[in-house]
Amino acid sequence: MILRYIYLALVTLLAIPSLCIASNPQLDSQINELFSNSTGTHTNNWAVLVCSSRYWFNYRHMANTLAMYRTLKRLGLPDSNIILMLADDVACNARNAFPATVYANSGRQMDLYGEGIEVDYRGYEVTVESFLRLLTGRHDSTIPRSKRLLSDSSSDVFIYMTGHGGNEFLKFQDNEEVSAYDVADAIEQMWEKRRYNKLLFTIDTCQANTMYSKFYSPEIISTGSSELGENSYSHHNDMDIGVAVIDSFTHYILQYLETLSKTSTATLKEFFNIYDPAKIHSHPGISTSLSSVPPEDILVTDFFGAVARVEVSSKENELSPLSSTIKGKNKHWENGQKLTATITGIQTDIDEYQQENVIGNFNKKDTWHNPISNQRFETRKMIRTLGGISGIALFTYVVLGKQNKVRDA
Amino acid sequence: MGSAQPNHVDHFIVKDQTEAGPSSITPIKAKYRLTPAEVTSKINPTNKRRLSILFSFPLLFILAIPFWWYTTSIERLPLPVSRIEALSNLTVPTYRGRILFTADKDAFPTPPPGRATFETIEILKALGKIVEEGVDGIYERQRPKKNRNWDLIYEDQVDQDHPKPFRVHLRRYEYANTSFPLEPYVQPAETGLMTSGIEEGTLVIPVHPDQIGDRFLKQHYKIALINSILSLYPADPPTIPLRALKYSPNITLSFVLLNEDSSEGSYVRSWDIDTAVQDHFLPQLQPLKDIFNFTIESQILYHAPLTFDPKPTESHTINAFDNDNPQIEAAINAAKEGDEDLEEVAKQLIQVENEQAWLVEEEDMKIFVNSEKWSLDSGSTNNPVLRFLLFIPKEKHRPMRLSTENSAQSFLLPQFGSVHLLNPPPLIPNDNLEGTNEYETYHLNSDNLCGTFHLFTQHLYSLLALPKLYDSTKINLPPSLSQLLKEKSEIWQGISEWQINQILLSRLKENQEESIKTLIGINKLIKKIKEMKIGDKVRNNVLNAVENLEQMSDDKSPLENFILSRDSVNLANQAFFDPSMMGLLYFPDEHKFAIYTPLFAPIAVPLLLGLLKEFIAWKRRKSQSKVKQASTEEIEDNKRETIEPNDKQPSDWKSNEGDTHIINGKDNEVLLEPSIQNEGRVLRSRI
Repeated sequence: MILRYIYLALVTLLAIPSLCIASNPQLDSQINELFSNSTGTHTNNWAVLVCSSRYWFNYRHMANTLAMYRTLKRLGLPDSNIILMLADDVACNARNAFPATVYANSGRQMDLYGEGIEVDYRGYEVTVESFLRLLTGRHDSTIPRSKRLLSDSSSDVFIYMTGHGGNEFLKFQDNEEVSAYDVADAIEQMWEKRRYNKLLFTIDTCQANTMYSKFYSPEIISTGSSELGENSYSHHNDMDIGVAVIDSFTHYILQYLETLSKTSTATLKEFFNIYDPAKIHSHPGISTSLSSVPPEDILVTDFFGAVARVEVSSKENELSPLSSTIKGKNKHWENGQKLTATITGIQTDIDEYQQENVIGNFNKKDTWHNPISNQRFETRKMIRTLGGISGIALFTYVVLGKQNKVRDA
Repeated sequence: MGSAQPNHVDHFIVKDQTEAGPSSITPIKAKYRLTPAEVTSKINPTNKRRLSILFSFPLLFILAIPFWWYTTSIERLPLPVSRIEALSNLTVPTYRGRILFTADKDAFPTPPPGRATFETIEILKALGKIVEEGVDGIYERQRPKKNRNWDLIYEDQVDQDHPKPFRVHLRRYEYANTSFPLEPYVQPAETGLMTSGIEEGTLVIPVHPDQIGDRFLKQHYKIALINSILSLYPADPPTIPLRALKYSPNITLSFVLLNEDSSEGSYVRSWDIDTAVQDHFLPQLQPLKDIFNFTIESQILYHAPLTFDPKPTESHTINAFDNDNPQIEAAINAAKEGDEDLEEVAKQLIQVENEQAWLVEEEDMKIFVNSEKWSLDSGSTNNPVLRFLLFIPKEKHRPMRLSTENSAQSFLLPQFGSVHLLNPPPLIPNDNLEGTNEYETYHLNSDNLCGTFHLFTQHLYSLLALPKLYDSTKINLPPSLSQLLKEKSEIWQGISEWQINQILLSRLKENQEESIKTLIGINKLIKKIKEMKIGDKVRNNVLNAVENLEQMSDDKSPLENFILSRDSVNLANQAFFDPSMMGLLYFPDEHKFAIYTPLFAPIAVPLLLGLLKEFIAWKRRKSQSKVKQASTEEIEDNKRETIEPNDKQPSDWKSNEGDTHIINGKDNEVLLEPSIQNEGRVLRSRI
């Protein structure tokens, strides 16, 4: 019997190479197609960054998200491909000692807020519904392009979430919560409509790993900051800001990403290798079972940063200077015509007109006026004072009169 | 309050005793003091009423269940599941095209005298048969096997029932190439007096009068016909590459002229965009009107900063005879032939090559488009936008060039658009301006924009996956009437009906696949996600999408089928992305308990306890009536004495209250029995 099995095994082993030899071009093309699909030919990257908490004491969550946003932009992802969901109430919070800034480190070296922050969903727009609608694409027809995730089958999508969570849920602005099932279903709907090629799900919250435990769609790689029953801790405080400025997990991720450049060839495996439970104070989780490509074959820049393949046109595509379409024609550039406009019936040069009639002249001698409402307030005050004085006068008059009467009696 | 109650009771008793109170407060005209048991029986409703009150609450719940069910259930209308599943077997409809084969009368050699002369149509039919057989042979040998999806027809077979056929024409043409192989071309639109009378879009096989006597003319005809028809009418529709836009019926083209920084002077102030679009884009867009609906917008930006710093090159000299720029070579060669204009062109080109320039590295190209700072399109629609950017660097960065060797100053961004760098020439010495004009401005006329739009048009072809008409060996440019009009560009001609046919077929395939995928996706999702709502609108959209797909057939023309597929994919997408289709949120069972418990727990406690109590009372009654029955048989004499005082009282109640309810003596007795035993407890619990 054993011999028979060995014989069978040998036959199958021999059959494999012979099958390979016998492959026809059709099979080859199919195989190629299969492989080209799985390894991902992707033309664009998208990122969804969600900060699900609000209020001053959750400063660090907003700093997490903004720092991630900065990093993505540094790695070349255009703003149009980043959907940023942020409560955005710390920068201009009355408790912020450094107004209009957000920092993610105690030294306050880099202001994350500054210029060029495009928050797509702000404040109370950050809800479970808007998040799930964003993923599934089921928007009202009036929602502008900037608030839509316009990814397709050739897009790699990066989802980053941070906030307060628990076992299989993430709280949204102390008001509602999204469950792991909801996110899993939403991602399944994305997959059915081929809204992603590969998806990287990263979450930094307490018991974060439970959030991706319900995923069942293919081509997802997910990672979270802490196991079931474990908290995810902040990294450090800033004494002047007075609250924690960044979470541990995000801090170490960003620290690693900071070492990468746009042309980096680091893989996700290297990225995952930086996780150190001792430093992070929780056990980060990695789930690659749903992905057909192992993390060592996926570049970090496949998710973080723009792929924007550029196709440079060759010289042959250019219109030849010898071509008849150009030849013999006016090749020189004309001087631009001065812009003119008919102002009060006379054709006038706009530049000169503007120089002569400067609009919005600022006279330094003029001081700032009080707002009108203030002036009204003054008059009201005056009327009240007058009323008060006359009242007192009346009162004293009456009292005095009475006393006189009493005296008279 | 605690003290007020006993006072009141006292007062009540006093009144009873003295009979001093008004009759209104004494419905109980009892002349004796009531025992607690009697009070109990008096103020407690009867057994039946108590039960009906008790059961009315559960009844209410039971009656409310349908409302609760209706308001909390998710509307899930049935979808045509089996029809959707059957869609996966749907194949792309193959329409058999018809190609009308015609020829000039003198395109064939005249037979020598004495031989039989044939009508042109006879000769064409014979030739056509050879061509068809040749194509069949080629397809037969290909793996995977393909099928010829067109037939040649002749002038006697033309009828009005079918849509207009494609045309192939053999033309005796004195401007044709005098040497073999024959160079087929597609007839462009003609204007003016000197028209050939050949319809636009006809595939023309030109033959020079000198060639007609050739021995192998028939073979040459055959080769030219097979090659050109195979190229223009491929068996499979071309696939749509990744860089091209996914099909969308509405597309916005946005032309933007970007001045890097006009505040530093020397910028382009205006451009003749109208004429440029008219000349270069409209001939390409017009024939696509059945497939795409284009919106064109244009703008000039005066401040378009870059996010990177271009790197300056070291100036280097290129040996005029030792470089790989094909343009310079061509210009030098032409100059050698004695064209003086070209000599200047060559000089200029070499000069440009040698200039010190600011380079845009390949890495920088990826981030060239600064979408954060540049507002590239009006954003007025949610349609996909293709952006054509003409970038004018500021004076400090001139000339700016791409660092890639031997490339045009232009690059394409897949699914996004394209960029062309245009460096203004050095300042034009102009006496009129007297050199005082610090802010040199330019106007770009349509001639200046020629080169740019030549590139943009090619980019449009790649971004929309439009097949190119010219194929270096198979389809050529029309022979020019004179030497002056030589060197036409390849996209000089508008899109022909042959290309339209290919676009229709490939987009039809794309739409059909997408629609089927989406419908099957909806089907799968609904099975997987039980919380998903399927409303009336979604259902109608799905039904219509399925219907449109099912209506596609081989008999319909590609355009009809395309329109069906376009509508189908649109409806399927509408159904998929319907806002109401959002799966309702998932709530774990604990959540549901958490919602319902605060509502129902407070109500449920007294209800359940009441039921329990009634049940206990009922049990007790039962057991006691049994005991009673046993005892009545034993002591019949004592029975009357025990019942008598009890008998009197209920009758009193009856007369006073006018209660028509007849109290059963036995029941009454049973009811009173426990209260006699333990009066206080019963009173308290029943009030």
